[in-house]
Amino acid sequence: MSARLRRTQGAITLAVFGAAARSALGAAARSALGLVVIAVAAGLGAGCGGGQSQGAAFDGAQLDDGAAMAALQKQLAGARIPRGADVAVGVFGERSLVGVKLEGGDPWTFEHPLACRPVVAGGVVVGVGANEMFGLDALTGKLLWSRKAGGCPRGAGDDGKITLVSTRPINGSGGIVVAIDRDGQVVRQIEDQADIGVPAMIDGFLFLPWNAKYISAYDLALGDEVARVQPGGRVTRAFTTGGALFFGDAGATRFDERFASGGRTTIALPSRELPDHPAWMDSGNEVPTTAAQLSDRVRLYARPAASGPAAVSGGRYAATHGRVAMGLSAADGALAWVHAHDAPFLGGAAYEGGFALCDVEGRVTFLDARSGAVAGSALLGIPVDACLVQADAFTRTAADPPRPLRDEIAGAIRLQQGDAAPIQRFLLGEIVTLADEEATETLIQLVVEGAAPPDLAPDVRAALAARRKGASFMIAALQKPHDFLDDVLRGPPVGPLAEALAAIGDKRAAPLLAEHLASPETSSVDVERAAAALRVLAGPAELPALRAFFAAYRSEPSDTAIVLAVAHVAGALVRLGAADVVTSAVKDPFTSSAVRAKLDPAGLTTKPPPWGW
Amino acid sequence: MHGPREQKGPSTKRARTVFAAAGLALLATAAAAFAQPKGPGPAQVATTAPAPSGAPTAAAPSTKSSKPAAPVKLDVSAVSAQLAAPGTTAAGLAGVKEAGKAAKALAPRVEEMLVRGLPPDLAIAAIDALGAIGSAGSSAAIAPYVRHRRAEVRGAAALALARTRGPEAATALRVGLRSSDAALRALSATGLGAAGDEDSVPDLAKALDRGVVEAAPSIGALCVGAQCDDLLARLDKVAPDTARAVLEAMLARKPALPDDVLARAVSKVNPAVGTSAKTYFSSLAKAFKGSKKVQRALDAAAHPPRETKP
Repeated sequence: MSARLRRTQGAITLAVFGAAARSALGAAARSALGLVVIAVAAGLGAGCGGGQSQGAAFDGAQLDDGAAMAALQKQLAGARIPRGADVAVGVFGERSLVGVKLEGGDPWTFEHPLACRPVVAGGVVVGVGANEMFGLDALTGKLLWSRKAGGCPRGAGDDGKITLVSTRPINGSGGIVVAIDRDGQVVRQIEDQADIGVPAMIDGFLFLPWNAKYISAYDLALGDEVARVQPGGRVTRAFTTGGALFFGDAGATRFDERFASGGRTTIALPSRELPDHPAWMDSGNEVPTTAAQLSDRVRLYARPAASGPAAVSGGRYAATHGRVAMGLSAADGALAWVHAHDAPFLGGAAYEGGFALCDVEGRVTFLDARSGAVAGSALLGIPVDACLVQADAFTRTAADPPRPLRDEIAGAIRLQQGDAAPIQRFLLGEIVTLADEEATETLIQLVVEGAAPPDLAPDVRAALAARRKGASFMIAALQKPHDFLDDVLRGPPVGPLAEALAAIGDKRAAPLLAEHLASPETSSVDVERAAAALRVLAGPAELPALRAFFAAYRSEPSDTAIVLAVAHVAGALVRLGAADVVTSAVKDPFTSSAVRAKLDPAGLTTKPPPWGW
Repeated sequence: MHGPREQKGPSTKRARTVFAAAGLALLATAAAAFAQPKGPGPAQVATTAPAPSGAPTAAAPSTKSSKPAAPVKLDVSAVSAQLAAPGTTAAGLAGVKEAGKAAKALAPRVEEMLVRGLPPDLAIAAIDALGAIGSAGSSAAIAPYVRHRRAEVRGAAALALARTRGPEAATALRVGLRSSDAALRALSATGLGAAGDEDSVPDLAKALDRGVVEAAPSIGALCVGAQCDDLLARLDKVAPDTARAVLEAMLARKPALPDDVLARAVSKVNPAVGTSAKTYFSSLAKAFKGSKKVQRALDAAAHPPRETKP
């Protein structure tokens, strides 16, 4: 560790751990801790103005078997953790911030060069730019303090009196943590070669995740580490929400009575593959870019329960992907609702009963966790490049009954923006599995209306073909062929319907498919699929139509789909006892060589339909 | 929605050409106007009296000629042999087509070929041949081809059905009227008038609403009572040549429509004719052999009273 000492201005009282605690951590941890330098710089200004002290609190000898952390937890169990301001803060351009209370009201603005994305903690917004760090009142935008500083903030904590800012040094590695009071006085500064993640603060104690493995508790007044634990798994963030302290990265572990005992209260989201792999929390060791990036648009939001068993508040978490937000079951990841938005989401937060999601237009939309219904909004009043939302005590729910999931999915499928394709394909996969029979009707409408973006249209048809419920809607759709006089100018998706109905084995489809087989309005590709379906569904009543089709197209020389359709129809004719038609055609010189090649002596095709025979 | 002048394709032009002459009898000339990209090809037609070069075909009588082409004598056995051999099928079909009604004995054989299936060019030749024969019994064999995937086959079938007529032809043409193929809709509309299918008037009216202007003369040829009144009420909204075709179709009706209907038709069409009214109505008056009341209406339209200066 490079021990860059500051001017000493106060005494340090070292925390004393017992022998057992000292042996609790392994050699690696001891080594890391040995590299820590603490500088206490009460009143430090402009980088060197205050006093500071050196201590050995984070050296390799400071070990903890959990007893100290347990004791600290017990000590802090009654401490009141102040709720953070419920605000949204937007960044636009290179020097402008705008904020608004989630409960509404006029937005505030603040101008200052911005080198990095600001962070929000408690009641403070912390920004850095032009070699200056500044703190704003999150509710009003009023400048609280500023001081010389470099680097970019990884995160911040705030207990209502002191703001704790963890920054990544300019050289890109290690960590600097500065504790600043409301007057802008630096009451402590910690520098280390270890990566210190996003800190939190309760009642004068700092909680510092470092090297993605350890949590050190630090007594701000005493200037020393008082406890340390390796909770297991990655840990790069400490944060408070709902009046509880959590440590996390991929999941969140609550700092409660079970924390130091090994039976920790850890909240994790279900493992579920979502488009573009959204994360609940990014690594707290990283510094986000000033403007939002893909990981901001594709994001998970969940609020860990502040008490009781390990749970996600409300049993729901949200996932955003551009303009689409989804509500998912915290138990199994099942899709509960979908919200199709008119602008991409850039940021947000989960609150008790819902989600506050901020979009590029500077609008914060509140979505009810249970139903996905819009429960209100707050306006930043200007398009933003990045958006931070903190919702701690805030709550806003909607009484509206949930809409059918099929309709919500359809709303998302109708989005025409190309960047929505991954989530739209995901949602098509969801609608295929819905037990709701009317989901089939929804898919049919999407195809018939041509509502999906052109690139997505084949996927919509594939989803319809994969449906195994809602056969009555499929039949009804087939009963509405193209009809110029009745203003039915787009026929049904014959191919997907044929495939689905054949897989279901619904013979009601046979006469309808025979009708579409003969129609020039049916595309060649769909004719082939209709013919394949008729091969398994057709009965004697369809024989005339099958004969007519076979006669009309057995001479087809080049359209591969029609050639295959003829072969399927030949198979149906053979099955229905009209093999003579096929046999005769094989010998007839007017039968094209392409068709003849597909007819074996028994009149069967060489390629079975995808669902088998 | 569809405007009454939406149809601007060749089919519209063809229909106007058809009706610009002298009434319903010319409906069949749609066959001549329908362009067929592929004919039977060079063929050795087994007829004893090949048509001279430039002579009108049976399927396409000249609109200028008032005399039918001389009947062609057909060597039935020779043509049958041509039809039976794949290499000469086209020639055989061409012979049947040329012979027209004289080849009626071969209609079942050609129908059978269609039912068994032919390559598109031969299917067209077979359909044309059956159309030339003009037997209602052939309509069932032709009818499925109105829905063929190739537009030229569909068009040939619609034209042929207009000539073979009968219930099956009417049913198939009504299917064609509902097609997404604008050319087929036009041919079907024309064909329904030619086929005399009075039951199709409601469908023709819907087609006219949707811009199939070829439906208007056919309605004129088929309408009764209020249907005719409805048609006359729409004449203000159709193009002048369509209005003229409607009038000609109504004047050509046998038995004739009531005098007052025809008189109203003349008065409705009169403003649409414009500066050529005198010539136009004079020629109609000359050709018309019906009631005097209608004759007077035509004469009046041809010779409107001069405006008097105040």
